[in-house]
Amino acid sequence: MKIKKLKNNKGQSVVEYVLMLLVAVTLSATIFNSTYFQEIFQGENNVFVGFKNMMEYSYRHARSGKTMDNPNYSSTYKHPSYFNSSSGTTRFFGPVTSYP
Amino acid sequence: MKMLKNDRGQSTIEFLMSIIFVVSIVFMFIGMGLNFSSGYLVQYATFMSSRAYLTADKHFLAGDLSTSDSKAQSVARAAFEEFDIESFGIHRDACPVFNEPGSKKYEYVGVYCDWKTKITLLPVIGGNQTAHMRAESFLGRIPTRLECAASVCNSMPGQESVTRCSPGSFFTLFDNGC
Repeated sequence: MKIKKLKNNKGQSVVEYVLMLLVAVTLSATIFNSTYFQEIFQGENNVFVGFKNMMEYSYRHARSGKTMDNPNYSSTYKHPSYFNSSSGTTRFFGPVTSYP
Repeated sequence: MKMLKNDRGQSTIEFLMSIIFVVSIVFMFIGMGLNFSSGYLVQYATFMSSRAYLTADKHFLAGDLSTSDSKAQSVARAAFEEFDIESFGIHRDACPVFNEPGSKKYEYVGVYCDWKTKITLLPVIGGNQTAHMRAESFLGRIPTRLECAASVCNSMPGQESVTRCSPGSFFTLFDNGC
């Protein structure tokens, strides 16, 4: 009786489905637990932290960037919206030649 | 058991699995859109507050100069409170904060507002990250009438024995812009 049951292909799709599911779950678990994935989505500097930093910077300065400063608005403070610290120049435009 | 031997309902299950993903993406963009709207609102409220802070005055020609500045702060705060930003789900950290003349660098005199928001609506797609936003509006602050009166009196050269701005004296005035 048992041998008779094995001699047809009933249940083949179910077995294949279970096997495929196992492979998919194993692959997903491997990817989710990988160091690379953890760094991208769950680490301290994950992609969402980067997105958050970009949001904060672009909202305040109306330009692209990621590194927010801690403004104290003192006499020595150089606002990143006003001053380009990488080139050491102002972001405001002015005349090419000095006014006579 | 009989129900398991056909493929009815397969498309429903596939639809449910895919709709979760699609809805997550849609909600992510809705959340970003709401953040943009909230950001514009807070920025506008800060600007309007800064605008009020720029010009508000007690219009008294006597008294302490600092009272005019505190009066300006209360007027600017009222201008900010005109906008019911809490109803948009905005969490204020410190709003509005004033950079007063004299205490800060001249070009940073004005108002700023710190607020925070979740970057998306869904916790699984970055929703556990809180963004700390800052809206700034540094329009400065014009001299009050009291300051102008003081500077006008100071611009009256004369005998030091005579009290400046005292009636009955003649002075040469210089225009200082007040």
